[in-house]
Order: sequence, then structure tokens, then C-alpha cells
Amino acid sequence: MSDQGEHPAKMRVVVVGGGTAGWMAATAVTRFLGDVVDIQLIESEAIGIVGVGEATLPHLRAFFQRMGIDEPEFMRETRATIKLGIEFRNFGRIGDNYIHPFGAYGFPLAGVEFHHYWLRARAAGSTISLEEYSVPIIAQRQKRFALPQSGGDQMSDSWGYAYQFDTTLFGPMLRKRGEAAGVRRTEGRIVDVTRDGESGDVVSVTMADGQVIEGDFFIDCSGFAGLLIGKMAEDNWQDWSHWLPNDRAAALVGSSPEGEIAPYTSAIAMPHGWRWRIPLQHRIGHGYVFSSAHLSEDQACRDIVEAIDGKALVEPRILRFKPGRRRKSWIGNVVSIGLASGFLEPLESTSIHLAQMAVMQLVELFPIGKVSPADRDEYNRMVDFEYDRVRDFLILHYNATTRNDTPYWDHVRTMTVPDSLAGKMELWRESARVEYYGHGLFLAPSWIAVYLGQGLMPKGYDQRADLVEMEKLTRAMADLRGEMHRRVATMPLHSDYLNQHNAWGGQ
Amino acid sequence: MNGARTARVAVIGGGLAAAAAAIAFRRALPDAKVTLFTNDRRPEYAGAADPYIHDFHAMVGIDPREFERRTGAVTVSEAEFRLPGKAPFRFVRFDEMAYFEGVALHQLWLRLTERDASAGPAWNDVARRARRQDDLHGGLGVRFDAVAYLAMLGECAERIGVTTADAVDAAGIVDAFDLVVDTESTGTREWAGIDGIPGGFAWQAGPGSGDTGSGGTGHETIELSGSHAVWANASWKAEGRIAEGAPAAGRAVAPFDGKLLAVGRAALRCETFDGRPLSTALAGIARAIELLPRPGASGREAAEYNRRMGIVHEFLLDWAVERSGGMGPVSPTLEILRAQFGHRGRIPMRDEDPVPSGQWLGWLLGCGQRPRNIDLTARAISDEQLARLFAGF
Repeated sequence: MSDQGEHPAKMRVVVVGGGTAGWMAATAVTRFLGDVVDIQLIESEAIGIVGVGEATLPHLRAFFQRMGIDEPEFMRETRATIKLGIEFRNFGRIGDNYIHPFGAYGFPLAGVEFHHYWLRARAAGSTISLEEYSVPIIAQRQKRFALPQSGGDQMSDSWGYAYQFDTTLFGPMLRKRGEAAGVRRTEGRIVDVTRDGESGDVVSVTMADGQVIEGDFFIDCSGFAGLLIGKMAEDNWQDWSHWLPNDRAAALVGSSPEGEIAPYTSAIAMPHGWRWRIPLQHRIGHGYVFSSAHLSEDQACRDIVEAIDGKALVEPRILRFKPGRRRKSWIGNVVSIGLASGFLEPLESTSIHLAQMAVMQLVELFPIGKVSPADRDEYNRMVDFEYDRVRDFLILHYNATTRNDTPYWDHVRTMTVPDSLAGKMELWRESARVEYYGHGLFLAPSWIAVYLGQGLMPKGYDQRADLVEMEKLTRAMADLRGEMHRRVATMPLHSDYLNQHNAWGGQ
Repeated sequence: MNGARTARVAVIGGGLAAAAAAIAFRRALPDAKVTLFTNDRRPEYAGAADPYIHDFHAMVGIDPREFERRTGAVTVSEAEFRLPGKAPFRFVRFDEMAYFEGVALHQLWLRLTERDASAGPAWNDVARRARRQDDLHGGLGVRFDAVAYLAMLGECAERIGVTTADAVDAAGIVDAFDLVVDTESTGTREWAGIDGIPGGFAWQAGPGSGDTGSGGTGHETIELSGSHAVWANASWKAEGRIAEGAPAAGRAVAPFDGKLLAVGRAALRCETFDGRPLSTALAGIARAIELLPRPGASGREAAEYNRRMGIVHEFLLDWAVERSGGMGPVSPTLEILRAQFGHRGRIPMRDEDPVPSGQWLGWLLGCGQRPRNIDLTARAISDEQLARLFAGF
């Protein structure tokens, strides 16, 4: 006998909140479980979308493929551009500039990762940047893009790509698909939540107009408010503000300057935080992420308007957040996804990915009949380690700096980091090795980009890199560099690519 | 920058792991002097390895054709198990989880056969059909003449310049070497034992059936009864006994400690009847080379080695408990796996598990276990789609 019983009724699923996370959850659950669940989504048009997650990671493409979303259509509808990585300016020290690419550096030789050979060449006097051995970085610098090609040599698909898109258009795009697939949308504001006195499970939510919406399972995508998850347990928040002190963002949109669209997001360090620059087809998204302990909101608004290229099209809007995550994202019959589950600043464009990961985990562990503690624990385990690993990676960007020009940078430079990150940094410093894990968001190439990009030079490297004759190594590295530049030169400019692939949505 | 290089490597042991380690370190560090300290040359494992052995051979430059020719290696893809108190069952290779329309294939099969087992093909027929046909070196692994393999490795070691010497105690030579690889003794290192399942069998092998099946792949049988086991395949038939007083299964808590590196049976003792203990030893050697510290380093690389191999060894011990018919204590990680499978037929993500999730699944379904529930995603597929999918099986 299954937990569903002999004749299972359709489970009534209520999604609370209709931002990116809410519509991703609703459309994915409908796509994979549409015949066995009944989905209702509640959202209020009076409540705005936060929309700091316009820049994404390559994993989103897998989500689109599973959802059957056509890439050019999506790009046209959301005015999306291609993203090959993230440019970081002024993080290690003022004047620095490096790119975290979606792809590896060079290729392993005799089982030894390429960066060890690069470190050896550097120790022998070479001044050539590691970035010269990365196709996606060379392409970014030249604002070119071509699709990676499988089936060719290893250089042909040595990069990935993601998108930069207009979040205010993404939600509606998903809504159109979700509603067509059977998601029922209810407009309105929730004013009350009713829980079962015995189990503590949520039974229903009451709308401002008095309507009561009952459900068997609730997905809380209500953003920072955490309308449902916030009621499920006391002391359910793990605060990370001592490691990630930024708690505000001043966001605005600006006009696009003349010239080719950059196929990358920029993160530019500021005196009390950093600012993003996300180029879309029709405008540029800007925002100053800062610490309110070090900078006032008014000053941040003035600073971001002054800092951007192009013209500000709106007044900056202040977003307030708390860095951290729920101790348990799934409690009882409520699972929280997106900002209701946790918040990590968008320095590495992880917001949408974390929502995507949570949505797919939920589909995989969706309750069968009733909620199983085993499923719930497994879901929380998976979500926790994704958040924790991203957290460590973000902290690295602040702690691996020589900046002490403001109290803000002096604080993050000298703060104590989590043990899990301290161990990773020690391993790198010792011999340029990256702590390995098979699952998780940021793997070795990403860590190498930030370590070296921010000037964290290791004491040593893999001793096997010493076995190649220096002359041969120099020649091989020059050949590799030359071939990468030759291939990038054949790629179209970014805007030409968008036009050629019918992805241009017009002005 | 620390430019010191590992110049002197000692490897202690007379078995397969020692010979393999000597070759691998010699290949990785051609400037280093590698000395193999050995007296009694005898394979410490049955002649079996999982497919990783081919990667190891590629890494150290062993010709796969020579391996096959010298050792009579055959690939096996199916195994029949006879465990105490259980009906015989067959385990069919099913390496990777397969999906149809985003739904796991086994969930669809569970739905098809939910009410009537005869409504669809047997699970093993599904697994046979789903496995990759283009990977002749895959299967459950290879079975070979362990004595011939040891001789081959010995010749290879000598050919590439490994020197040999009489066996010594690992601790006694630490000062004279930059790295001491111990493959035999658990020594005084901290050990996490698992009472209830054996640390290994002493195998006596004779000729096998010679039946390699169609396409160069074959099957094998494994019969367990108390302290006695019989394992037979195309390459050999072996009888195994647990010696009285032999140590229980377990693992070294910190196999890499200073200059001392424990691999093979010095780091992990268990029997999984599929060659994974040997393959894990080979993987441990490769990982040690990948993380090899320079002399005088801080020990952080060794800590990373211990972290990663610790996980690998823990998960392999889970597999050993499962494959021994459920004897022995259940670890928290195995408990989670069993709970997830029992509840909804899911194999949880286990980073660094040397056993692919598909093999866990193949094993549990092969044993005849069925989860209590079918994943809801499988119910979202129409009956017509389901019938069409399995019509080809």
C-alpha cells in the first residue's frame, strides 16, 4: 500500500508569490506533476518584484531545456543578452580587473591542471596573464560570442554561457506558460494564515477580500516577507551578516551607451560595497550593493547615479535584505523558495540559480500523499549545502583583498571567515589546489579565477609541472594562446549573434 | 615559492597495490628514486576490479591489450548472487540513471509493474537494454588472473626503474624517504572498524568457466554462506575463507599522515565482490599523486586527501554492508539511502561515492526490493507514452 492510498486525489498546491521564484516553481511543478496536482498561485500586482537577479548562470539553460522553453523566443521576450562570465573591478586592489569566466583555463596536461603550468611559467619570469588562456575571457574582452560546439576538439566547447535578462519581463513570460499549462492565478494580498492546531501545518490562507484558499501543500515564494515559512518556527534564520555585511541595494535602470553590448556582467567594487552593471538589449541594469553600517541610503543613491555610464532612466530604488538562510527551508507542509528561503547578494548572479535548484529538488522530492520527514530532511540537506558553498565563495571575494582604503574594506579584509572557507584558502595558498566536490555550483575553475584574480598567489604548485622542459612549455603555451585568439577572431560580435539567431527583441 | 621536489619514495608491500603504487609514483615523478620493499609477493585481492582500472592503466601507461593478453581479463556485466536466507537474484549493470521525458526510467518501470509484475518486462531486461552498448571496457568491471597481473606489474616496475629491496617496517624508514607508501599494515594509525562484516577473504583461485558470453561480456556468480564464499566467472573460480581472528572491515581515519601514506589494505579493509577494493586502492594512489605535497609542506594537501578518501571509504563500506546481505551495522549515510529508496525509489546524491547511483539502484531492484511509493513524476506520463516506451524492451 503506498502513502497515496489506492485512489489518490489530486494534491492541492498553493504557491504564494508570483515573482521569478513563484512562477518558476509553479511552471516546473505543473510541467512535471501537472496530472497529479492542482496548482493555484497567489500574487499581488501591488507588490513589486525585487528583480536583482537579472544576470544568471549557465545552469539556467538546463532548466529551460527541461521546461521546453525555446532560447531565441525567451531572449526576444525578455530582451536578453549573452553572458560569458563576470568582470570584477577593484576587488583585490584598486585598479585590478579580472574575469570569472564560464569555462576553464587551458587544458590539463599529463593529469596536471593547466594553472599549475602557468604558475611555473610565472615563477620563471613570464608576465602573460592566465586570462590569455581562456576562450570565454578572450571573447568577452572582444565582445564576441559563438555557441560552443560539441563533437569538435576540446577547445570547441571549452566555454559555457548564460543570459542577462529583464526580470520584469521574465515573470510574465513564465506566467503565460504556467497559465496555459493549467496554473490558476489568484490576484490579491494575503492577510491571514490558518494552521492546524495539532500538526502545525498550514491549512489555508485568507485574502484581503475575505476569500479563503485551502491547500494540502504550500510553496512560499513571498520574498523577504516569508509569509508562511516565517510562521512555521521560531529562530529559523541563520544570519550571515558578520561575513557578508552588505544589507542594502540602490537599484536603477540606465540607458545603453553607444557601442557593442558587453557579453558579461560587471561587478565594480565601491568604497562601501560594489555595484553591478548588467547590459540588456534595450537598457542597462545598475545597482549599488552596500553596507548600511558604512553608508547611508541617500548617499548610496547619489553615488550610483554618479557612477553609471549612460543616463539614469529612473530614480534609484532601495532594496533591504538580510544575508543568510532559513535553518530549515521546508517545515511541515510549507517549503520556502527564493528570497523567502534565503538571500545571498547577487555578486555571482546566484539568486535565480538558487531558486532553480530548490524548485528542481522539490520536484524530485515532492510529497507523495503526505509529507515524509525523510524527503523533507533530504531537501533541507541539499538546499543547505548549496547555500553554504555559495556563501563561502562570496566571502572569498571580500576577504581575498589587500584593500584597506575604507573601514568597510578593512573590515572584510580582516574578518574571520568560516572554517570551511579557511580550509579551502589554506589549501590554495599551499600549492594552488582547489578543494574538490563533485556536486555544487562553483567548481575549480571558478575558484581559480577569484583566487588569482584577486591576487591570492599560492606558495607552490603541483611539482609535476616542473617535469616539462621550460622551452617546450613556453612554446606550447604560446601555441595555445595563439589558437584561442584565432578562434575568437572568427566569432561574430555579440549583437550580430543576437540578430543571426533571431534573439533580438528590438528597441 | 617552495620548489622542493619529492626525490625518494618508498613503497612497502608485496601485493597488487604496492606494485601499482611503485609504477604510478615512478611514472609521475621520473626524477625520483622509487624503492619497492617487498618479500612475499602475493596478490592481496581477488583478480577483480571495477572499470576504473582502465583509467589507472591509461594514467601509468599500461597497454590494455597486454593486460588482457597477460591476465586473461574478461569484462563482466551481470552477477548472480546467492546470499544466506535469500532467493538467488541477478544484478545487471546499470551505471547511469536513465531518463525519459525528464522522468527516471526506473520510476516508469515501477509504475508499469505497480499492480501486476507481468505487465511489463523484468527489471533486469530494462537494465540490459538501457545500458550503454558502446563501452566494452565498462560493465561491472574486469576479472583476471591476479597472480599473472602481479607478475606483469612487477615486470613493468622493473622496466621503468623501480628498485626493489627486502621488506622493512614503514615507521623505521621514514627519515630516509620523502614519502613512504604503506600498502600492508594498519600499523598504529587510528582505525574506524565495522564489526559484523569481514575485512576480506583469503581467496584460492582455480580455472574459470571460460564463458565470456556474447559480445565479450560475461556473467559471474557469488555465493556467500557464513565465513565461506565462492566467486566464479569466466576467468576464475575462487573459494574464499575468512581466517579466524581476521580483522573486521574498516578504514584508516587519516590515511595520509606526514610522510606516511596508507593505501590498499593499510587504508581500507572490506569485500564487495566486484573488485572495488582494488580499484579504490588504485584511485587512492592516483589521488595521492594529484595532491602530492612538496617536501616540507604544511600538511593541508594531506588533510584534503584524507577528507576525500574518507568519504570514498565510508561509502564503499556502505556498499560492502549492503552486498554482504545486510550484515553489519548500518551507517547514517546508508540509512538515508535505504530510507530514500524504500520511500520513493530515489538514490540520494552522494558526492564522491565510488558506486554510481545507477548501480545502487540496479542492486536494490535486482534484489527484488520495491519502494513503497512511485515518484509522482512517473504518474504525469500518459499510459500511451508508457506503453510505447516499454514496447521496445
